[in-house]
Amino acid sequence: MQPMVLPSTVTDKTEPLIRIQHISKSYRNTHALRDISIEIPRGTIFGLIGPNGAGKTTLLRILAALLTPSSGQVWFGQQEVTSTPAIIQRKVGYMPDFFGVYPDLSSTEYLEFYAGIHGIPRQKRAGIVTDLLELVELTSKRDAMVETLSRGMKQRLCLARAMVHDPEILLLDEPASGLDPRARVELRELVRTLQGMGKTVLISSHILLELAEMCTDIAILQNGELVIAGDVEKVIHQLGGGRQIEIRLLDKERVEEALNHLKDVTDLHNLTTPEETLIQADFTGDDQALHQILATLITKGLPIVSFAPRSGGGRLEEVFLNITERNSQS
Amino acid sequence: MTFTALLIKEMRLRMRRERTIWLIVAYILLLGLLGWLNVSVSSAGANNSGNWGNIGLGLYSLLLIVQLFLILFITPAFTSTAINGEKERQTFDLLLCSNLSSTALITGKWLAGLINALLLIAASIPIFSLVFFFGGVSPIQALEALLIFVLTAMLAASLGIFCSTLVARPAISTALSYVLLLLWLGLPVLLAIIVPQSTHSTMASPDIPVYLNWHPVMALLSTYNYGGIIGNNATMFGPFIMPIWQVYCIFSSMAILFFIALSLWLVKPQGWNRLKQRLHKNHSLNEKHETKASVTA
Repeated sequence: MQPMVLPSTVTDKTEPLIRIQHISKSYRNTHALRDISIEIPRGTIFGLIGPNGAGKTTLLRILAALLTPSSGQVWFGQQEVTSTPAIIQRKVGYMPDFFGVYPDLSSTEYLEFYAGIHGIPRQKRAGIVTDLLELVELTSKRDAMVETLSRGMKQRLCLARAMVHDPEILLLDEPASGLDPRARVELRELVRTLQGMGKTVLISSHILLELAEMCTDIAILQNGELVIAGDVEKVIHQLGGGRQIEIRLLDKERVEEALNHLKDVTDLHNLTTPEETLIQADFTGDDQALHQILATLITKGLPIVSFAPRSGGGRLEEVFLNITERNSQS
Repeated sequence: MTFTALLIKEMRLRMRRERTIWLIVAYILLLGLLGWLNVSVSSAGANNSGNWGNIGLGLYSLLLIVQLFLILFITPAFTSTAINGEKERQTFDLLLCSNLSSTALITGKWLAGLINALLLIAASIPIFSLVFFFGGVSPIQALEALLIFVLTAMLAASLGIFCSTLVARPAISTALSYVLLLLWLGLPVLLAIIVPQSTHSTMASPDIPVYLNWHPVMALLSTYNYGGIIGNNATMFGPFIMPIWQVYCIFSSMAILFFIALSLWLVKPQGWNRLKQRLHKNHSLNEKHETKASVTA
């Protein structure tokens, strides 16, 4: 099966930071990864999505130099790094899908230990640890024993640990799994902050929705193969998921009139009115087309209260399930 | 630098465990209690005969042997889960991701376990000093015994590290290190019992059989020649004649280096596979070599 690779909006501007070329990994009889090629632009939040066993963790572990691929290469910029783990270790911060904490250390000691084994000079360690604890909002827990932290806090501490050597690239394996909604929102904000700091972040998840709302680019893996990769909106569009838009009007008398206008728009399908003043429709066009629809409605003088294109929701999951199911059958 | 960071973390974790303190307390209490019993029993007889030097020697022998077995059986516990314990706690990958070299990892873990054992030896020194009240042991002899203790602790610690890199499950690696220790201690003794003495030595010079040369008990006894068990307490070592404890030190140092080197090899990712591959390569090279040779022949 030939994976669809869509051009990324960011790739157009800069050359990719990470190039994964024809990576395969097999253990005895099983193929964990088959001929994966992905380009990851600098400064993106790149989501790796796939059901359990799709090869996400294997790919991340290869990028962290913890596994050597059976074939293929990984390039960081102009440098081939598959055979030079030392470069990878310097540039990559890896956060596995488990915590990996020592019971009898405080948060500060925990981070200082990892700073130490990353070769950071002793006099710099305290400053780095203080900054990191502040970044992940654990300053108040600096002297608390690691085992007493909540799951969300441990997750943030592990993220701080992955950053002790100030890596360019962060690999986060299932960072949101098992977190409550609040911790999840905090994690999302944190990842955005990291992007703002110029980091390139790779996140894996088996929940598309979780990534769609924070990633700029995504790749979908299925049975060790790449299904599709590229800019998040385009991927969702390509998958046939499109977007759903919701238009709320001030009074129900004008709803009929609005529906008449919207019927003629080619990018809109499945027009429904779940509430008296609310119109929902599936939208498959681009932002330009969306803007046109709003402009038309406004010029017709329709009393629009809200016009909200919303990505996904449960529908996105449905699309994801469809595509992975389709591929597993084919 | 990475090495000291690892060592500091290891020592912190160890010292924060309550059992470390309790172990030292129990260790000192046991040694002290046995020593006190020995003195109180034998001093009753000494009051009559007036030979206090013998009491000192008796106490010293008892403490030496007890301490030797305590060191032998406590030290592996400090290191036999060092590497696979990290794997089980899922922190091993994180160590691999860092700048920590396998040398720093193995020696750091080894030294941390060893320091724990040395702490026990150091804590026992005040009890040993009791011997000097009674006399009968020279300071040089005591230093030789100390050297044997330190080397034995190093050996047991390196054996533990080796087992923890060899076996994935901590419980099994601990068991394995004890089994190996028992074999090392027990087999020569068993041999000595089974093999008839007369075939090895004449009655005139009761030499110790070769296989008992690398035995910690023999080495300890040879430092002060207790009760003349070991004859002239020297043994033939190649062209040299030297005391058993020196032979023991040489063999132990070699064994320590051997275990550390093997652990260094095994701790690297897929150490086993690479070892197999290399063996396979050598094997196939040899085969090629042989076929070439046969062709030319």
